[in-house]
Amino acid sequence: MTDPREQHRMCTNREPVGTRRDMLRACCAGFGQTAFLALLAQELLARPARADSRTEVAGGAGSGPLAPRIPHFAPRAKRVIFLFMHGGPSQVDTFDYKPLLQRDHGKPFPGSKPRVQFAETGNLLGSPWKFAQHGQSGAWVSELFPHVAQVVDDLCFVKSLHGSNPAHGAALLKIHTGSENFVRPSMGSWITYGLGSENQDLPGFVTISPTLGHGGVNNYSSAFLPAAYHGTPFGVTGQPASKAEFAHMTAGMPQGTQRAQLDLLRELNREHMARIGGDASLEGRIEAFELAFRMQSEAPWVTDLKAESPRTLEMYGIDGGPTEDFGRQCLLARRFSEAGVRFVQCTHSYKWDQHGDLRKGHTQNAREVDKPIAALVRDLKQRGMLEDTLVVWGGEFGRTPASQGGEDGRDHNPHGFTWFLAGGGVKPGFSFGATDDYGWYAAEEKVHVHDMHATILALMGIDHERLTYWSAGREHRLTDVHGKVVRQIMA
Amino acid sequence: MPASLATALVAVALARAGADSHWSWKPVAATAPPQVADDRWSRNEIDRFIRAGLADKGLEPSPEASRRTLLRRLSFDLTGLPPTAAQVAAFEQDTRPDAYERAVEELLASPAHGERWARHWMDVARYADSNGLDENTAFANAWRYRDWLVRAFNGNLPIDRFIRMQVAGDLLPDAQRAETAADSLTATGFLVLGPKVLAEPDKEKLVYDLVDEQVDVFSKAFLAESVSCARCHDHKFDPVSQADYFAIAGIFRSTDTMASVATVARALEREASPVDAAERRVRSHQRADSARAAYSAAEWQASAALQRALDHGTSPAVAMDPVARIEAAGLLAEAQAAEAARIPAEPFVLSVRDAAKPVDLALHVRGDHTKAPGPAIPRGVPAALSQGVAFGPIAGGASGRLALADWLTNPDHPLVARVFVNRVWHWHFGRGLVESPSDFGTRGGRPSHPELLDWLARDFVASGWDLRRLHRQIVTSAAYRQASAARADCMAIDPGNRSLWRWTPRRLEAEAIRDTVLAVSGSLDRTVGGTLLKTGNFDYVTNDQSANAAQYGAPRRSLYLPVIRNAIFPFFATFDYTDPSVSIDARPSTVIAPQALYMLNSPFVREEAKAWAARLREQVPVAPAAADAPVLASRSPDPAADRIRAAYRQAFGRSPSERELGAGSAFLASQASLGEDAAWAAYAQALLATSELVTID
Repeated sequence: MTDPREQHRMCTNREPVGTRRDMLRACCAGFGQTAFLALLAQELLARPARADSRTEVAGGAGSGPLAPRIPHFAPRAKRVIFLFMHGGPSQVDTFDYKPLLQRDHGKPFPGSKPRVQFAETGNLLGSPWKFAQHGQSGAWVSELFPHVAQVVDDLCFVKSLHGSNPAHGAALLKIHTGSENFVRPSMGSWITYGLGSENQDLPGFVTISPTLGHGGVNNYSSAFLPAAYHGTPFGVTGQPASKAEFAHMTAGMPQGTQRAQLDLLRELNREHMARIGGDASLEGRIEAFELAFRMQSEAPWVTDLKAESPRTLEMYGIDGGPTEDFGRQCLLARRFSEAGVRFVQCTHSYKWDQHGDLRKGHTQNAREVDKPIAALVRDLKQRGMLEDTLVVWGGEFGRTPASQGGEDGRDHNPHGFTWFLAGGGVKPGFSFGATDDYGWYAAEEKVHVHDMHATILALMGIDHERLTYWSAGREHRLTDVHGKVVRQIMA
Repeated sequence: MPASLATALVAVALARAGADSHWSWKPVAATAPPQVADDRWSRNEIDRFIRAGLADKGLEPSPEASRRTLLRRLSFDLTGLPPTAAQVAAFEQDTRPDAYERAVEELLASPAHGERWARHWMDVARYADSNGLDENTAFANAWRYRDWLVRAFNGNLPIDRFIRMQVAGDLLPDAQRAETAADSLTATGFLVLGPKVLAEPDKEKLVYDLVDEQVDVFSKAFLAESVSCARCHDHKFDPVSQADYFAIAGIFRSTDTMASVATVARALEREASPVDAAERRVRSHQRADSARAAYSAAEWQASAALQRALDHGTSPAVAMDPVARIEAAGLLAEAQAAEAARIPAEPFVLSVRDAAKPVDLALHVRGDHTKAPGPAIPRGVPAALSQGVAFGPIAGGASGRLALADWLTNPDHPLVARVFVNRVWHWHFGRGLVESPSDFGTRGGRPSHPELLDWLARDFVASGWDLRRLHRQIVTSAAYRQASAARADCMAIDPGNRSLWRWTPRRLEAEAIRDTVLAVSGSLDRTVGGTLLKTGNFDYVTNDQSANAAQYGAPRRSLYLPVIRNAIFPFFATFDYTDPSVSIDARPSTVIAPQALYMLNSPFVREEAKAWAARLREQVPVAPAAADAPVLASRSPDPAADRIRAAYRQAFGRSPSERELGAGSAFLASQASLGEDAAWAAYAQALLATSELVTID
């Protein structure tokens, strides 16, 4: 299979292999030698696989693209739930408390603004929300997140995250795929490619209510990886989560008829295969129909919330109020995780983009997600799942401490923002890194989006430099040629 | 790692790095078909090369496939559609010695042929009807490029012209001739169709990234080389330096591709007519507009005079100045004439033009446009990739694209003909002589039959880049006509079938699966050309609340359905469609459960099964089984049998075996409680879901 773009962008710190002299130099360079030989070994391994990789065959447990695979090293988490806040929540109004920003409200930003800004910004805008410290850990949380404030001792804040691009589309692609200007596999695709899944009757990567804007499907696509690792959407943004479903999972005929249809089909397909002779893809095709049938019985059970107790529904805020939609998403995420799905994403649709109306907008948004998020963390914990489930919360970027369009808005800010993680091997009740005094730039212990990717992979037991896929001329990885694992946040 | 392995690996790398000896950059060798001991199998030169390769491995070719199989193979390969039952019957009965060649000619002459082969090239050209990437706005005129491709393949446009038009059509003399200007400009859409970061706030980066995208698609499509690797550093494996990159990037940087880079940026479109014609049109509109204005002014004066007369109670006839009236009438006639002489606007097409001021680009450290630039690199091409073929000089004030087109289509260019011929082979056989059609570099595949590749490339150029001729050579060869059955002895020696001891069976592509379902059900609308995209030009096709303006319900050939980046039609995405954001040379063919779910539960397949069942019922009414009618022993007593036979002929071009007949009857009997229509629809759906329907064997 060939792909795409094998732009060797900033490919590697290895010596180029051009001439015999280059070659020898590369081999004598210590680190260069190891990496170089590893590269060759990979290449040799990757080559024979190339012809085969044209035909990926689905199969039962033990074979097939979703069969569980052994990680590179002992994993701290077995599954990921990514709570994505589309639009860019403001760090300085939520978890990154900046006393100087409050003090200097209305004054010009004393530092220099970025070379490229999404739009013009004005003077500093103090947060309209009060902050207080919570829990044993004393984490600062604004009054926007009263429920999350109660579980801070289970959370690990990264306050020095930074990305590359201040536009939504490019930033979404960056946090989902590591690349803003090429179509690359999504983080969930890489992880299921690396680890397979624990349930062969469900997709390994499920994305609940994903958006079609700002990169759309490319945010959960497998790109050049085999199609089995493509994120499977469960509903779409804009449609209530209560109406969400997998595509084509409902038979339009009595089950007995479909079973008879499948039996007939299997007989006809076997006869066809016998005429041609053994063929892996024809055999795989027969098995795929059986798997489809099994999925049809598994999926409705997993996605049916009726089995949940009234107490649980209440906890997630599934009560017809503002928390209804994201509450459902979070509860579904727990159920998919329980069923063995490797990577689940929930998307709180494009609401956090408060260039204006910050007070109203952020209040409403936070109200919709605060209770469900806290419920998910608590629920996972009480079920003993938090220790091996990695929960990740964040947006595509943060917002500027300076105002925009009057005194009730903030612009995009990819230079410093906050994500939090929970469970799956991260330090609970911990905060890592810091932005400058006003919250504009990541300043201490900076964590780039690539570093976050490397760290999430590491928590899953994957070495981000070794999880590669050969495509049109070179090996690719989620972190391209970047990424540093942030060991300091690991428990 | 053991030392011996390390040594071996190093040796491999050294051999790889030996750019001087790499096969694809050396001139195309003048090879002759080898002598083979037993030449009775060979039908043309291709077969002698293939037979010699088989003999080297101690293999024998497979027997010729059945007539039915051959026609199905040819029909899918040349038109992307299955043959009709009538076509199969006619071909099976045609005893003329050239029946096969006649079938080939008939298929090549079908409008469906251009549709099929245009789609192949669209993968390479990363064709789409929307931008994708960050802001998914519509390219509402992209379809004109697609329709030009269909015409080009149906008209057997010589491939050197095909290439020249896509790289520099706007600069060719054809662009100045009324009858050829539209195609010449339309073809350059190839350079514009790429995805761009339309909301990129850093405008300089926006332009550098789009130039990079052009370098990427250009170099992969025609040179099978990833030149864009060298944006940031010298190519790791191939002799393309960073200076080479900036030399070729300068050519595209000296070309205007965008109408505007202000957020949200817009791609450039040009009126598909010669420049002077466009100017004449503009003047005709100016004349009509000013004549209309003159008449309006005169009429206003006249009516104002009339109004005054009425206001003052004088007779209008007296008050109105007769001269003014005559004058107004004259102006009206003039305005009408000018209106009639308005030259209608030609359609606009995605296109490029040479920039007002060409530039040589400076080499930027690590490809970062903000990093201190080095000295300017004169525009040019990577010399190592085309030994002995000169480039330029670039005419003063020109971008260099015309020189680039000349360089590419120089008959001595080692890569271009080889690359194109290999793509054609790949599309016929499902795999190229070189297995990586867009990577002929040191890390790409090696030709399985290097002498054959060179022979084909030379012959192709000598024939005037005649694609039809190449198709005929390939599909009439004995190698192409082999049966697909796996033979144990050959499987043991060459399981991958690189030596071509049989036809490799393969699954149809997404579009052909859908087209086949529609063809079998009888729903397929064969209208050629046009657009199904309803979105206004540069309007958003998809948005963040998941609205998607693209519609896929039309029963047209899949080629004509909108290609929306970021939100591919789910049917296509499920069946390994191309990634239309990048140049793709070979599609994967996966087998996954969602494909099965699509065949089982999608409204599309269910509806087509129903439609087909209804059509079958009309064509083959089942006589109510009369209980007292004598049943002939030799005849199937099953009243459904005739209809099952008809279904098999329509879907597979053959009769069902007794077992298949029995299985069908048993299924229908078991589902009788659903009623005839529903039972037949379920049966028809099972046939549409079979492997046989979607396998080219």
